[in-house]
Amino acid sequence: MNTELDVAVIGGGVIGAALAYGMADGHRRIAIFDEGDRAFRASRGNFGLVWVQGKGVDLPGYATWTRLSASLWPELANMIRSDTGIDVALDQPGGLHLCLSEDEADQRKAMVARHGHASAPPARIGERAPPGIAAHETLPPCSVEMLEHADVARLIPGLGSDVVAASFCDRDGHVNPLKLLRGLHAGFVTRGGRYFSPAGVSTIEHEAGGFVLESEAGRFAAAHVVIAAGLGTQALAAQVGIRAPLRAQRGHIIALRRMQSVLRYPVDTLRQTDEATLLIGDSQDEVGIDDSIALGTLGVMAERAVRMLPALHAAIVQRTWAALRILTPDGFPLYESSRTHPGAFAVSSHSGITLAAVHALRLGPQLATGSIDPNLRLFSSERFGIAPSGPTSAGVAACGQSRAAPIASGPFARRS
Amino acid sequence: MQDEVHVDLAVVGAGAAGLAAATLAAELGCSVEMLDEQVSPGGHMHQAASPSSRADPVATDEHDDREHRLLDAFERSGARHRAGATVWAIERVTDTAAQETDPKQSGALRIAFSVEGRASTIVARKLVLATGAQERPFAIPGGTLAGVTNTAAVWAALRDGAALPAGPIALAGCGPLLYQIADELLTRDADVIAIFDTLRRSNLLRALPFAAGFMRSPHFAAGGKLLGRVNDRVKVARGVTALEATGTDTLAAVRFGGAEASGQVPVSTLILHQGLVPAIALSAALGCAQEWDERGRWWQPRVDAWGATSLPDVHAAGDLTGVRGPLAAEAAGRIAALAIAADLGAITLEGRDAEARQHQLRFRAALRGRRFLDTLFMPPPAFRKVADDTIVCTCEGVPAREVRACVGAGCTGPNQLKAFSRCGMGECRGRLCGLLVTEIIAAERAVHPADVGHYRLRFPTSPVTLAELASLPRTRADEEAVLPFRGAMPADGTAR
Repeated sequence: MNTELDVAVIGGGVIGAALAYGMADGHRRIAIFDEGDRAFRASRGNFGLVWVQGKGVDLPGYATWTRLSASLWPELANMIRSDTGIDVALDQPGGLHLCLSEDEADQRKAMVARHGHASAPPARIGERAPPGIAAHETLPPCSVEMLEHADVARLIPGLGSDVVAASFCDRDGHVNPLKLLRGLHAGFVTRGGRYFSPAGVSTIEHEAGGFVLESEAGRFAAAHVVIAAGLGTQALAAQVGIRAPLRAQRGHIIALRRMQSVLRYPVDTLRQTDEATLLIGDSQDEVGIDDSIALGTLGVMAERAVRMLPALHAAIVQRTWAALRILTPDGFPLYESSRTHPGAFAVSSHSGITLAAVHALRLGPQLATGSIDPNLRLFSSERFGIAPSGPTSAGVAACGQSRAAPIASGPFARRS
Repeated sequence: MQDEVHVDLAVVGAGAAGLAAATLAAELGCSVEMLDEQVSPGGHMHQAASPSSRADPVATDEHDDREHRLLDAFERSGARHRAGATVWAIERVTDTAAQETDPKQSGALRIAFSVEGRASTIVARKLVLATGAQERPFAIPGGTLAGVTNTAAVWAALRDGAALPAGPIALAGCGPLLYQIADELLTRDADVIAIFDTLRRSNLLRALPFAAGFMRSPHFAAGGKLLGRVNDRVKVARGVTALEATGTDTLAAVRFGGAEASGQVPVSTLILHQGLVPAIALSAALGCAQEWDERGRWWQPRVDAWGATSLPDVHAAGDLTGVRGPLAAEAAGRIAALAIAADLGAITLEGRDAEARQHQLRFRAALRGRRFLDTLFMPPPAFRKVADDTIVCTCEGVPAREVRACVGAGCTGPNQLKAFSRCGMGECRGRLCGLLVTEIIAAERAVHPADVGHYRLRFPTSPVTLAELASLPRTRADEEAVLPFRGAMPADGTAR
């Protein structure tokens, strides 16, 4: 087959763009196929944390992968800056989770205790090689600790008296997610990639030696196809024999009018951006495909923010919005290569900002060579109930209807 | 916060459309609340009257009669007026006690508004948006200097009894309102020294086929008298194709260029105006589908013959659905009220249709002459798709060059542009630059504006404090969506 492209990346959000940027080397023929201006875009609506604490407390491999990304983030930020001149405003001073009651503090303490092994050196994480870590590499140490009110008050001047405690992780940070998205797009194009929009993809056909995509921008042939299409991933992945059970979960953000610097350390629900805007981000609503705001939810978020920083009560609300997270059933990433359609991949994660560095610097280059490193197998969609199997003669139809029994063991069994 | 008021109908906006809709719905037995930013009802209706209030007593009497009739009827109707109430968010009610006891409440909407810095909400089964019109964006080089303003701001200042703008004053742009405000300022002996009229001669040729309707309309005589009065007292430069405000921080002079003349005039105030466009912010934030109106080159919520928008229970009426003036707005408000009264079972469908006929006739009559005016006063392309150095987004200081650069980088519409450049993210929440951005992107991509789209505008559509937001009523579901460790913590620790 005459392939015009080596790799077609479907999805121009922060995940697709990071993977594509990581693949683009000036030689490979790579294109991003992106939807139009009004698509659901988690990448335009997210909070911008590069966050380690709390991640993978019960799945050490995910904790390691997250820590690796946080440690690779400066490299990604530098790469974007030198390719495009765009400063994505990465800042990793450590971050906080604030507890507004003794109950909250107790539960957080329990989480921090369980964090012990997640923040331990990766060499001790069991028998399997830690995800993405090369033999010669070591991760920088990472600590998560509980702080009492007085200690928190030293980090956050003006702290509300309702804050009884906090957890602090020295690896946490934040970035300007919009500059990141723009930087990834610009860097990708700088490195010879092609970007098509509006170019929603409707069908992926498997032909000898590759794939043919039917998109709003026309038909394209590609040797490899990477599906990173957010909420569109499930339907597209089914066309290449990958089961990708995903759901939308709504989150809200409140943006306040710019103000003088009041918050040096990012809090997981409250941070001040490089542009001086204060953002309040929270809520997990299972409302399906609905990104309208819920006023009462914003009200609860506003109240909690005022309790954290009482001076905010008079701050002007600039904008509010809701966006949809794309979640797997267990919340962990999904990295899968098709067994029935070799050369097709699906990637999904709601932590697209935190994981942008490993996506660009590790996973992207792997996909470009046509395979996913076996030590990332823990993120395979096998865990959602597809028994490993070779290509079937029935192809797409059979895979779409696959009803393999859920696996009963492995790292995910305990959280069913 | 007090218990939420539940009503059949909430009307946002107290102009001709809002007053007419609220009044008729209340007369038909619906419980109605009308919310408006201004302290006294009337919207912009009275503005249209004020310039001619001395010079044209006949037209004024007619206008005042209509306004008084509307206001009197409203007073008697039983509809409640919430004065000084700025509506800043609207949500569909999905989980209320009312819904459980009365399934008919399932379509209800919650309207959040503030009066003197205190937030409240009401819940309504039906909603009429009658938010009227706003200034068409008019960006020129130097347009962000102090001393550069627009007719809406000047009119509001005059209404509120503020001092006259500092002289010498120049006006620039096109359209009847530009001359009305010049006339008003001259009547008050303000130091108006020049008008830079950007009207293109070619527009006259385009408008000529529609002149018959215009000459039979009341606009014809009134307009002629107005132009005569202003032309007698102020120097008018016609066919102006280039405008620039100069000065360091504050305006010092206006530079202008055109076929007939060019030069520079020292001024302290420059009043810009190039027509009115629908004020869509609230309707767009709520999610009403918007359509591009080619004749007016603006966005307006798509409505059917009864004013129903794309969203259930939400109607729109008046200038919001296309700028056509108070007579058309009044008729459209009544038509929407009839449709809502029928939906709520207050009247029959036959009753609705019979009663609506007279208003439909009035609506069509009110359109007479509009096509001529819209065509004649369409601003020239250079003032809609502005030059590279001109600031498009005043709030975030984004020049047209940056907008074009983002299009080059793959932005196909205003929303990706917003993410890439902050254009439209500022204080005005994209209300002021929205049309400019659509036009520039369309020109740059060589596609129709309808294919470019508009900003997804966000609540709050007007500023509120965090404390006001925190005072909103909430449900258990709201608490549980936010409170950490509610038992269903995301498996990976944080989902943010």
